[in-house]
Amino acid sequence: MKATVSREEQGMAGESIKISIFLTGYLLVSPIVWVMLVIKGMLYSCSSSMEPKMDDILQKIREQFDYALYPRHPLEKSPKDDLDVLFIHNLTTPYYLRYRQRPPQDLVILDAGCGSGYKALALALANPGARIVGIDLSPKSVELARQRLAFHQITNCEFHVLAIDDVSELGQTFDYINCDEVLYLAPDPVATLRNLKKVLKPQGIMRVNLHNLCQRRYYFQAQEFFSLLGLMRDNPEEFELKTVQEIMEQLADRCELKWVTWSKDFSGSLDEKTIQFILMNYLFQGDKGFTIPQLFKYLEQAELEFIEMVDWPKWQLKSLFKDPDNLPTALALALEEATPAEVLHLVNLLHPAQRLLDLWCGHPNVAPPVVPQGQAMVSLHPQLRHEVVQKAWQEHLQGGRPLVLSDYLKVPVQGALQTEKVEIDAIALGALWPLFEGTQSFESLLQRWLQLYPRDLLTLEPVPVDVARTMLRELLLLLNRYLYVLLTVE
Amino acid sequence: MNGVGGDSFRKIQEQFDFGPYPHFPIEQSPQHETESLFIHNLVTPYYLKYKQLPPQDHLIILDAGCGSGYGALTLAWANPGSHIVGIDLSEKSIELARHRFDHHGIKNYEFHVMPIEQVRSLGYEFDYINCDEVIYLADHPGLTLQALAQVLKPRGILRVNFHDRYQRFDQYRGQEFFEWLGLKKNNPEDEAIETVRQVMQGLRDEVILKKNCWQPALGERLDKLGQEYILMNYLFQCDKGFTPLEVGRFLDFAGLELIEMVRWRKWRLTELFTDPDNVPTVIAAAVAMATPWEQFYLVDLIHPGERLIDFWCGHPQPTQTTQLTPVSWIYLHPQLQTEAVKLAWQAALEQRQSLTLSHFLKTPAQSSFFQAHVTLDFVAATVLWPLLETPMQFQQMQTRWLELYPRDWQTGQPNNAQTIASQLSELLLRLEQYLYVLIISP
Repeated sequence: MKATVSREEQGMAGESIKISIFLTGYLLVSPIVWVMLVIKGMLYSCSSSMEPKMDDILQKIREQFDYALYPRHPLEKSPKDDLDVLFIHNLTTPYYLRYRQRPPQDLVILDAGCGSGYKALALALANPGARIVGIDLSPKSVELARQRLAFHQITNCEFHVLAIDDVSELGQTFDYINCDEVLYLAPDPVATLRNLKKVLKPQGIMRVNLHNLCQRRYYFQAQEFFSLLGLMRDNPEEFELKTVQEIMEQLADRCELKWVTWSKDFSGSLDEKTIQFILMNYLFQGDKGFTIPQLFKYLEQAELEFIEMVDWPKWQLKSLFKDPDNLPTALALALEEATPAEVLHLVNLLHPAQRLLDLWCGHPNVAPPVVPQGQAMVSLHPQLRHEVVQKAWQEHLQGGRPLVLSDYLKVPVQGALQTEKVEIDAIALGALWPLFEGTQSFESLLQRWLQLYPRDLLTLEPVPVDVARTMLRELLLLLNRYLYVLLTVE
Repeated sequence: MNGVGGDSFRKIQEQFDFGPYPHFPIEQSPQHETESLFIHNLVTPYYLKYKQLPPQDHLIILDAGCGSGYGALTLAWANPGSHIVGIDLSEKSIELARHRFDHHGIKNYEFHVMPIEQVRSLGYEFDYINCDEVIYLADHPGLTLQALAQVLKPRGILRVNFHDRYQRFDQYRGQEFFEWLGLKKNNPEDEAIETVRQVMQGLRDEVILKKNCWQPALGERLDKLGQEYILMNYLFQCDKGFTPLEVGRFLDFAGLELIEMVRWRKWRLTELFTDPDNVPTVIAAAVAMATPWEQFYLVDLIHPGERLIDFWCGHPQPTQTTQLTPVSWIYLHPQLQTEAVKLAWQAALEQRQSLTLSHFLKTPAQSSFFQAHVTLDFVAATVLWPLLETPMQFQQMQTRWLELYPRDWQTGQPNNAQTIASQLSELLLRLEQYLYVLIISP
């Protein structure tokens, strides 16, 4: 039996919001109107005490997403084979991270700020049988979300045009709340978190994220720049988009904003890809950036408890060092007393590579759900019980070749600077094969192991039960580290 | 008056007692550092504002926060005959500054250990105040500026600079990291410096902080320079960053008015474009309508390339514009009146070649991405040659031109005085844009 973990290097590209697109219409703004916009912009910058009112912000955000629906995935596109997307949207993942248990059945899931429904579809596919409720400010987006789920024949769902802060009007509570790419637009993030918390079941879990100020600072500077030029006074449409494109094209290539954020792909005709890129980055209405201490202060004020970062392997301080097991003494000592929030802050100070500060949280001090004490049980993560994985598993098993499990599910192995490789050999493939049928007890897997490999492969001596037990346990513990298998007591 | 509060006061004092700044050896002389002399010469900002030369005699110059005195020495070299007054919080630094002046045989100086906010107690009024790499440490920069404004003569000039928040964004993240490690609780000395070095060396090379803000060639040096690099970047007590808009507000508060950025071409929005003369309309409109500080802010947002927001300012006074008349006096900028320029000029004359002035004085010709090449052709070099020794009136130069080149080279006809005058004024106005020549009208 062998399971190995190795590392490979991985390029670190500056991440920006990039999405695939389809078409929309837009309005023209005449040059005269535009010169007035410029003047208004400059005046506005002089009297900085003029804070836009909250209603204005909501109105702007609604207009923005009515104008350009987000995300712009074609109706027929499905995340059903995107195991990493499903892994994140599957309640099993955070639920297991928090309670070391598998979640209950008959889930009710809220997608707060569902947009055009692509993530709601992912939630439906990742949590079969769950009821999906989606809400969004933009009527056009909600309409598209309905069509999208209908297209994919998901019927156990409902969508409402509703502000997140009014979510309690639904009169429902939820096992899982997905609030993705939304909170950084909220005028008062703490109030929004509190409103969501009110509809979260006692053991429910909520995913929220904010834009990372440090990673995205050039976009915030660009937003300020274009806003001073008057391009964000009204909802940006074709004229503003073209102006931004013209400015970016004509800037010298060595201008920092240009070489950090711009790509030649966005030059030339104003295609949908460019429109989306400009709208969601340079001209994003209401976009704000946050730091880790701010995020944790919001959680504290809303009385929510941090569970884990959604992309937790990317937030490991040690992995930023050449010799992770031998940190400088002063740092190692300081880390012993650091809270999780402090460690995350340190990681972000050194290496702000993630666009999102993306985490799961829940009600504080929740006792794990009580389950009848039983025996040790083993399951594959539900997202690994996918036909593609099963087919590969079978082929490698029959061919006696090791399988790189991490090729199929990458979130748990992708660090900030490197990707780990989790490989299991044919013996382990054989021993764990029954997991595709469903959850197995540890003992039954052990019996199977002993049947398959009764004798030592070199000496032909009978394998003692204890030795087999240790080998199986080590294999499972390793796979459990990456959540490829879940170990529970049921 | 409480510009630097008790705690910051102590921290800054301790820091510079531990490492007087800058660590230049005492025998080093700024004599040939043309670019630095250009900035420290009062002629430069005074001409930018008043289109006149500053008073020639008895200049009194203050170096506020003089540290170990290298900047003060530069002021002394750039403004011969002036009286130099240096003040600093750190006693050790002041001691070093005195030694430095003695070593270079400069007598007309005084140094005092005192905070900038108490400068009035000296009872002086200054023609030029240099406050370099200091004010971003102050708790209330507006108050510090006010204190300096109070000892500035009506037509005196103050040079100040602030750290730029956007340029130093990554560096401040580094400072926060090490502050969290507790390295800034006491005055950071050898042990703290060593910890920074270990952490930065231990980080993988792809880590963003290391990629953007670590120069191994400096950080890994174990001598004073390596120490200074780590102290002044990763462990700098009270270091703060500002935006141009904030700086503009501090000036308003202190009743001061901007004269010009020290590296002014780097703060022109149009200079960030491939074709500065043909920028998108919206940019041209913005430049036309923005205040200077708004324009600097726009530049800073998209290209935070300068560590310092470094500028000259003074009491509100009318700004003069250049006027070129037959009786205008033409000067070569003092920093071009050097041996090196003279030799090159002579060689150009002998070999009948052109002379590139911007090789000898780069600061006024540098924008963010371009270095302008400002060249005198052979004819111009011969006409302007006497300027190396003495100023000339426009009409004298015109006469010299006509004497040297009485006839048109192509047609053989006598040169027309009118044509010569317009060629000459075009040449001089172009050179004046870079301050290579100064045009003084009576």
